[in-house]
Amino acid sequence: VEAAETRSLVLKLQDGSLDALGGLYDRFNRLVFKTALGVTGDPDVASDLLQEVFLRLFRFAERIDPSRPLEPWLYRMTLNLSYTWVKRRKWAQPLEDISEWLAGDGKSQPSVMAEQREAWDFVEQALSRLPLAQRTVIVLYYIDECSLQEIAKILRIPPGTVKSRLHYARHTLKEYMRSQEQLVKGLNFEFT
Amino acid sequence: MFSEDMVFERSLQRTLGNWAGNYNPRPGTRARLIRAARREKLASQSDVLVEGRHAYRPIDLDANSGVMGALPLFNQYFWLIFSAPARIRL
Repeated sequence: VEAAETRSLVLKLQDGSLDALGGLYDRFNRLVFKTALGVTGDPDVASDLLQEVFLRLFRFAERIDPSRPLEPWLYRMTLNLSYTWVKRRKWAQPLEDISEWLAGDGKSQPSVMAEQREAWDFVEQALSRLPLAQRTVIVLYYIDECSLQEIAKILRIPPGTVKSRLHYARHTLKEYMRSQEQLVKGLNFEFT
Repeated sequence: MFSEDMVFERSLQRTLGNWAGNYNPRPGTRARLIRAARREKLASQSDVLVEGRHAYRPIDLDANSGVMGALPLFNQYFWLIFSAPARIRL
């Protein structure tokens, strides 16, 4: 049913319907936002990219095949725009500052308890240490909960490559958590 | 009993899921998107109108280049040029 509704909205979008654009936004904004957030680590940038992805969906609606699922197109567009943003940022800013901006300046962060904020900062710093290719796989697998096959289709790479990227990313994250002596704290936080 | 890897895997999934779920898009993103799309739609429609208006221009500069290109201009201003001495005398 959902696929049929999405198809219907895409067809209306191809006729230039702004209501259909709103409908697709309501349906898929979390998917795009979470993916952009995971790759960029910045909720403000993720909001900008969210708007840009849907604007491009509107602009290029005629190129979309309504008979196929929309999600892979949205993931690809989000990742492409996020990559562009991360690369520009890296080019413009010294590497040592990256973990700082990924941790954010607090202006747009939700009001959470200090302990939780510390945990989120830790997650953001851990993600920022991963190479972009590995970070993408981690985001799609753990945040978007895509399967290995789905990730392979989205990224247009063999499933074996997805597996190996996931393996190395997990290893890096684990080592980082150990080095920061946060593993036990993180587990307590999760399982209590 | 969970192995360390399984515990880590589960912890990672929950932590990342909670972290991403903790944030929301900036308020007003949807409204800004619709406004931007409406502007684009209007702009594309006005482009069509401008093209249509250009089609009724008396002189097509691309089609009439060189000396012959001046002919329509000459025709247009012929009476103005040759009637000028008469008008000055009056």
